[in-house]
Amino acid sequence: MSSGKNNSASLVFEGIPPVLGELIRALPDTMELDHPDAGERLFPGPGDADEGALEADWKAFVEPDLQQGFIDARETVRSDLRAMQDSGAGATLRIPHQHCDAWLNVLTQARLAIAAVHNLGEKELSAMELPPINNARDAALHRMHLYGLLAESILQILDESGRIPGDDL
Amino acid sequence: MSTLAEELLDEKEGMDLDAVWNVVVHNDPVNLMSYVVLVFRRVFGFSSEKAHKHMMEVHHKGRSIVWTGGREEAELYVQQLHAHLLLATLEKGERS
Repeated sequence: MSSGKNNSASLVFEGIPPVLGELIRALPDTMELDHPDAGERLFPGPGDADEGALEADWKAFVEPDLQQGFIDARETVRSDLRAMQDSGAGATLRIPHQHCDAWLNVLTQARLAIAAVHNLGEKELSAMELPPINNARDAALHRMHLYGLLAESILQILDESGRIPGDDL
Repeated sequence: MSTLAEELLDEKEGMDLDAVWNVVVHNDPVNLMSYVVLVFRRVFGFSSEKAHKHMMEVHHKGRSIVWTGGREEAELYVQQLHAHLLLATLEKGERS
């Protein structure tokens, strides 16, 4: 897979091998997103243990907005994935500039959910080499790694183009 | 029976009007460092250097106070950080 190019309208990733293409297509429907352990991480409370009323208000009024934002981001990613093109040289993914924020959000949602459900922490994530895939947990680590690489590529391209501070993404 | 004005006064007297609130970001081994820097720049308008400094503080010390001020604004910042999937909490600070 190419590391990604930035043109005037979008970021373009070309030559994506079929296996990676399938994993990227599965991103917005990552099954771990529906797991209760993922919910705890995606929707943390505001924190102050002495503020029971705040916790309750947060659940009632803030969480629904957060949830809708995450769902909207996934729908944006789905729309880009529907336009992903396959060819003999591998798939091509185009991410319009205004969709980069949604992609980073969904990649982060998926990585957090996978880590929470499969109990992947600092040790596994900082390992220099990925393990061979022998079980679902190993496969989860590989997915996290791929989604992390994609997020890093998006961030790097945005940084190089000086687009990061704006709200126009 | 108390009047509405009396109830409002009671409520006001019960509030700690001198309190300041900290927005604290906590370490998370999953979130990418470059993503955390982006979020700090986006939410707080930090310079690249300041965002990087806070990100490194989170990474090395486990937490960083990224903003201090009034309660309502602090809640809004925590909400924005949660929307970007950072682990953030609100805590009562001390006025200097």
